[in-house]
Amino acid sequence: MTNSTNQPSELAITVPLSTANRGQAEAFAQHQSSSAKQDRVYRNTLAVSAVNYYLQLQQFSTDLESCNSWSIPNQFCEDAADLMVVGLGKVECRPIASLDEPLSLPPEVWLDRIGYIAVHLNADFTEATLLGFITAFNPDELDPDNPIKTISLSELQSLDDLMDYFERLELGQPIVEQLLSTPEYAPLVEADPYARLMLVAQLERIYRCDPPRKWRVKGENVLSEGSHLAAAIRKGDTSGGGISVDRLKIQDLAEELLERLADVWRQGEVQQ
Amino acid sequence: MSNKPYRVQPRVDDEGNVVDPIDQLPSRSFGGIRLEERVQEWVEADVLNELQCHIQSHPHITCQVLIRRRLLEEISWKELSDEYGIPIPTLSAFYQRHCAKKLLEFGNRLREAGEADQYL
Repeated sequence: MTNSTNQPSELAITVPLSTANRGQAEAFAQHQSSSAKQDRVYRNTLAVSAVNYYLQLQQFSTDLESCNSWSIPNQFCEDAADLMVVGLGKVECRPIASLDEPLSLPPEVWLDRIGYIAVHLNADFTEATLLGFITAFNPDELDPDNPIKTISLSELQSLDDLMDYFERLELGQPIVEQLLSTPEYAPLVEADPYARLMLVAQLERIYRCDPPRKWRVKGENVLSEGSHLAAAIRKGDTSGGGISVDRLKIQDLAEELLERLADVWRQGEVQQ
Repeated sequence: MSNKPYRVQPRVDDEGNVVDPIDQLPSRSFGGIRLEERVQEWVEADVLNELQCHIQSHPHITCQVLIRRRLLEEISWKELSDEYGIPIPTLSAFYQRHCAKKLLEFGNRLREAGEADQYL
């Protein structure tokens, strides 16, 4: 029994966990040598299974084979509960043991997730409640002295919001693809397909959280981070002082990306 | 307060048979070697020379080193960060972009080779 003072929000959604789900979780857990790791793998597997069930009901395709959570070698080294949503990116499905507990995100899941879903597992692991989600964040903004990022459950957005978010990402993909394939911008950006998916999620966050006057610089930061920029541009010499031509071009690209995305996303909002 | 910790329990399968995982313990190993040991062997041997990429400006912190320390020594990100003097986001980003990818590829190779059928 969960002896919690908090109740899941009315917007939370409860899904069943099948015997097959528990069998899979058990099969994975058995490889771990400590009971703490067995417990971790068992819960992560069930949280992923629950979200997988829900997203498939919502007509999204998922791919477990490409997930760290479904790979035994990864399970030894990392606390991952990722689920690949085909064409959108990975969501992290974090199990929480109690409704009094915040959602906790270890460093190995900070990157390359389009969002994080909090999943409450019941005591006998027969059902899971999807409590809500948060979108991708910027790991550089974390407190270095407190490396595990925690999110209070009251900060979570509803699953309806998650569906809206997925819809914006779907609308955004072709816009980004189109602009990044132009002769002007194609040489700037790495063609890694997963990085493209993440780029849309990162720009969506800027669209939602930052005023348009900041889009140029915030968007440049996103493009300059991680694996987005082409290697030749990353190594570009900016030591001469002042802003290099490449930086200006990247800012132009960021601004244009965000303006075009904002256009389709605003249209999407009007239609709803 | 919270769920009781998970322990491997007997269960009833879809045909209604009781399956006690303890009876299935031999299936945890392949050719007498547990999968965890297979991963360890792969990390240490690095036959394909695929684990030698390193964190920029830190040639001694390779994929191999980081996987070994997470796998065998179970060192926390905070401890690794303090020891190497590298911020956690840098370490964990390298882990995600390089080490996790190699672990995933190794898992896929095992599966394709049919060796992992008994594990999955």
